[in-house]
Amino acid sequence: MQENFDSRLNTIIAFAISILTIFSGLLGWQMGNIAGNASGEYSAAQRAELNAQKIQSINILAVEENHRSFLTYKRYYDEYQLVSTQLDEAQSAKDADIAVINKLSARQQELRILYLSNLKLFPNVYITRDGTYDTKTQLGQMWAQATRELDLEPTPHLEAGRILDDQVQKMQLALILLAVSLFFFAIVSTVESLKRSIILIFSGSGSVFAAIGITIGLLYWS
Amino acid sequence: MSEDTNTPDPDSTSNRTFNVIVAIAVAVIALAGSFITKIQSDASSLSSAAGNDEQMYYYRAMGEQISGDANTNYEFGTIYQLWVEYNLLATSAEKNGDLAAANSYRNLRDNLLNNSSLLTSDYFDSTTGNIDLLAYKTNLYQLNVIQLLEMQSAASDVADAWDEKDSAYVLQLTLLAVASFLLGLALMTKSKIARTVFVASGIPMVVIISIWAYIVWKQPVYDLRETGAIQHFANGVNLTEQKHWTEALEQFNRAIDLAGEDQPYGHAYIHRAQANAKLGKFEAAVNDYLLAIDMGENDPNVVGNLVWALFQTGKFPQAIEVGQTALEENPDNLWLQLRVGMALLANGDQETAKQQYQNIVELASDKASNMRSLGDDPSEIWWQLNDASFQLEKLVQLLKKSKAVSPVKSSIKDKQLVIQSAQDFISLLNEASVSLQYEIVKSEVKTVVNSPEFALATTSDQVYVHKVDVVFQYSGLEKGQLLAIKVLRNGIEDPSWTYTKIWDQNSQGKITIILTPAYADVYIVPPGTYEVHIYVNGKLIQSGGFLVNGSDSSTTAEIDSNFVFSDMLNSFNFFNMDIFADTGDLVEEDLYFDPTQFYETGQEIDIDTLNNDEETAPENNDTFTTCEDPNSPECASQDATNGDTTEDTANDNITEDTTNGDSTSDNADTGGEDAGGDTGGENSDGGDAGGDTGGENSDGGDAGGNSDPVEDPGSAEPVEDPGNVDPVEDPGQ
Repeated sequence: MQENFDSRLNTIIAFAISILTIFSGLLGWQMGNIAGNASGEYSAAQRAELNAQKIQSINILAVEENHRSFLTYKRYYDEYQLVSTQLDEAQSAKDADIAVINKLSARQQELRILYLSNLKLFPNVYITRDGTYDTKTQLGQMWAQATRELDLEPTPHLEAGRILDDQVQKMQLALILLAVSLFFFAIVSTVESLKRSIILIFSGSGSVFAAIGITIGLLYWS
Repeated sequence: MSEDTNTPDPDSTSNRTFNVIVAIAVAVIALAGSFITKIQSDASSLSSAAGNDEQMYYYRAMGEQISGDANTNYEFGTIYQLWVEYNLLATSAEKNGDLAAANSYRNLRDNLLNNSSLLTSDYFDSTTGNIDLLAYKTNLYQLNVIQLLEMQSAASDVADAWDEKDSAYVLQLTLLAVASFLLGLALMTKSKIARTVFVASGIPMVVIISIWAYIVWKQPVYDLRETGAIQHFANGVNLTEQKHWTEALEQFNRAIDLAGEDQPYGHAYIHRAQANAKLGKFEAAVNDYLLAIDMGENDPNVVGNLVWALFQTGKFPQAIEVGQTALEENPDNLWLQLRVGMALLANGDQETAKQQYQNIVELASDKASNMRSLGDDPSEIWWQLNDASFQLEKLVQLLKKSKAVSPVKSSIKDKQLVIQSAQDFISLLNEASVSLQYEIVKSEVKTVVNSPEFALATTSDQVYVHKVDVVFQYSGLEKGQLLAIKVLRNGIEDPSWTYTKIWDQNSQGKITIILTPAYADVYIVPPGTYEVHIYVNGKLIQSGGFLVNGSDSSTTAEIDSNFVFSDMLNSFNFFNMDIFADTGDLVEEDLYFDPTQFYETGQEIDIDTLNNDEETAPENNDTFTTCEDPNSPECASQDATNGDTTEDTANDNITEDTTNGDSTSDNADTGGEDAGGDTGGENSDGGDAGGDTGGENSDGGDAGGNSDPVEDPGSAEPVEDPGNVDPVEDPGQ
C-alpha cells in the first residue's frame, strides 16, 4: 500500500516537474515576446521624442529667422513713419524748406522700399495689430501641421511600455513561483531519506506554488 | 521513498544504457550551448553596431538639417534680402533720375552674386528676382537629410532584428539549462517511471532547441540599406515636398519594387498613400495605408491618414471603426478624434457625433490647461480646432453645391441634417477655439450685434481694395467683456486681421473698425471670399462677409466638380508656399498674397494711387459712437459726423450703393452671402442693413468732403442673393 502510494506520488511528481518545466519555458518565451513589445514601445517613444525635438528645433529656427526679418522690416517701417511725419510737418510749415522736403521725400521713398522688401521675407499673417510678430501662433500652427505627418507624442508609447513592463514583472513572479515549486518537487523526487510528513509538506507546498504560478502565468499571458 | 523497490540495479545493462543516453544528451547540451553562446554574442555585437549606426545617422541628419536651415536662412534672409533691397533702390534711383546712385546700387547688388550659393543661375533668375528656394534646399541638404533619416530607420530595423535573434538565443540557452535540470533529475530520481518521464521531456527539448537555434541562425537579417530602395524613397519624398505627386509615385513604386515583396517597405507605402491621396486616388491610398499598418507602421498619424482617406472615399463606417480602435490606445490624439467626429457626422449618427465634438472640446480644453500649467504655449490646440471647423465648412459647401461630385457627398444620406449639425459643430469649435486662445471662462453673454456691413476702400484707379471697415450696431456689450473679431479668407483665418478689445465703452452704440492690417501703408487686400466672425467673451455673436475680386476673378470660382478636401494647415507652410516657386497652388498663393504685389507681379502700380495719405499707421483702428438707442437716427448721425478717411471711403461706397438700388444689395449682400455657406443665411440681414446704413452714412460721406463716388471693385461682380434682392427699409430712418 505504502509502496504503491510512493510509486504513484513519484510518478505524479515526475509528470508535474516535466509539465512545469515546459510551462516555465513557454512562459519565459512569452515573457520575452512581451518584453520585446515593451522595448518596441520604448523605442517608439524615443523616436517620437526625437521627432518632437527635431520639429521643435527646426520650427524655432525658421520662426526666429522670420522674426529677425520682421524686426528688420519693423525698423524700416518705424523709421519710414517717422520720416513721413517729419515730411508732413516740413510741408505744412509756413516757410517750407524745399531742400529739406526733397531730402525727406527721398528718404521716405527709400525707407518705403526697404520696409516693403523686407515684408516679403516672412509670413505677414503673423503680424499682430499692435505691430508685433506672433511667434507663438506661428509655432503652434507649424506644430499642429507636423502632428499629422509625424508621431510627436512619446507619452502614449511610454504608457504602453509601462503596462507591458508591468505584465513582464507579473510573469517573472510566476516564473519564480514555478521555480520554487520545482525545487520542492525535485527534493521529493531525488532525496531518499525523507520523512513522510516532509514529503507531504514539500509535495503540498510544491503544488500550491505551482498552482499560483500557473494561475498568474496564464492570467498575464496575453 | 527509501524503500522504493523500483530503483534500478546499477549493474544492470538497461541502467547502463540509460546512463549513456543521458550522458550523450548532456554532451549535446554542452555542445549546443557553446554554439548558441557564440552566435548569441555575435548577434548582440551586431545589434549594438546597428544601434550605433542608427544614432550616427540621426546625429548626421540633424546636423545637416540644422546647418542647412541656418545656411538657407542666411542666404535667403540676408543675401537675397540685400539683393532685393539694392535692386529696388537702384530702380527707385533710376526712376528719380539719379543714375549714379542707380549704378552704385546695381554694383552692390551684383557683387552679392559672387558670394552666394543661392543666387546662382540654378536657383535664381536675376531678371525677375525670383528664386527657387525648394530646389536650393533639396540640392543643398534636404535630399541627404531624408536619406540619412531613412538609413537611421533601416539601421534601427537591423538592430531590432539582431536584438530579436539575441533574445531568442538567450531563451534557448535558458531552455537548455532547463533540459539539463530534467536530465539531472532523471539520473538522481528513484522511480523508474519518473526517470523515463524526465528523459522523455529533457531529450526532445534538447533536440527542439538545437533545431530552433539552427533556424534562427540561418535566418538572414534584412537590411534595407543594401537594396538601393532608400535613394528612390528619398527622391520620392523630395518630389512630394515640391508637389510633383505623379513623379513621386514613380519613385515610391521603384523603392517598393527594390525592397522586395518579402520585406515590404512600410515607409514607402505610407508616402505613396499620401501622394495618391494628393492626386485624389483615395482608394489606392487606403490600400497603401492598410498595407503599411499591416507592416507595423501603426503610428496614430498613419491611422489618422487612413481614417481621412476612408472618409474621402465615403466609407464612413470603416473610418469610424479604424479610428475608434486607434483611439482606444491614443485617446488624447485630438486630430484623430476630429477625424472620427467628422466620419460620425457624415455617417448620419448625429447624437454620437455631437457627443464626440463635445468630448473634443473638453479634451482640447484639458490639453490647453495642461500645456499652460507646464509653461507651454497651446496654440496648436486651437489651430487644430480651426482646421476641423474649416473641414466642416468645406463639407457644408460640398453638400450645398449641386454640381460638386464626391464619394463623400454621394454616401451621405440625409444631407440637410448633416449640414445643420455641421453648422452647429462649426460654431462649437470656433467658440472653443476663441475661448481657449484668449483663456475665456464661458459665461452668459447678452450682447446683440446687428449684421455687420463692410466698406471697401479702393485705389483711385478703382482696381484694388486697400482697406476694409466693418460697421455694426451693438447692445448689451458690458465693460470688461472681450470683443474679438476674426477674419477668414477663403475659409482660412488670417491672424493679422484679428481684432481684440477688452470692452471699456458704453454697452450699446455703433462702431466702425478698420479690419485691414496696418503693417504697410500700401496694403492691398488679397482677392478672396472673406468671412468675419464677431465674438463676445468667446461666444459667436454675429458673422458676415464680403468678397474681393482679383484682376482675373479667379477667387470667385465655385467648388470644383471633383471635390477634394484640402488641408488648411498645409497652407501655412511658409517655405513650401509659392511666392517664389511655381507650384500652382491657388490657396497658398492667395494666403501669402504679397501686399507689395506690384513688385512681385510686375504690374506697375503707382503707389500714389493708393488712398493712404491720411492713414499711414492708424493708432486707433476703431471709431466709437455710442448712444442710448442704436437704431435711432440720432445715433446714425453721430456716426456720420465722424469724418475721417475711413468713414469717407466707406460712405462713398455705400453712397453709390444707395443711389444705385441694385448695387446696394449687391454690395452688402455679396459679403453676407459669399462669406461661406451657412453664414450667408445669417448675413442676409447684413445685406439689408448695409443698404440702409449706406443711406444713413451718405450724409457722412458728404460731410467728410469726399464727393467723388468711388466704386467698390470688391462688389463689382454682383453675387445673387435670392433672399436679399429687395432692399429693406431701415426702421431707424
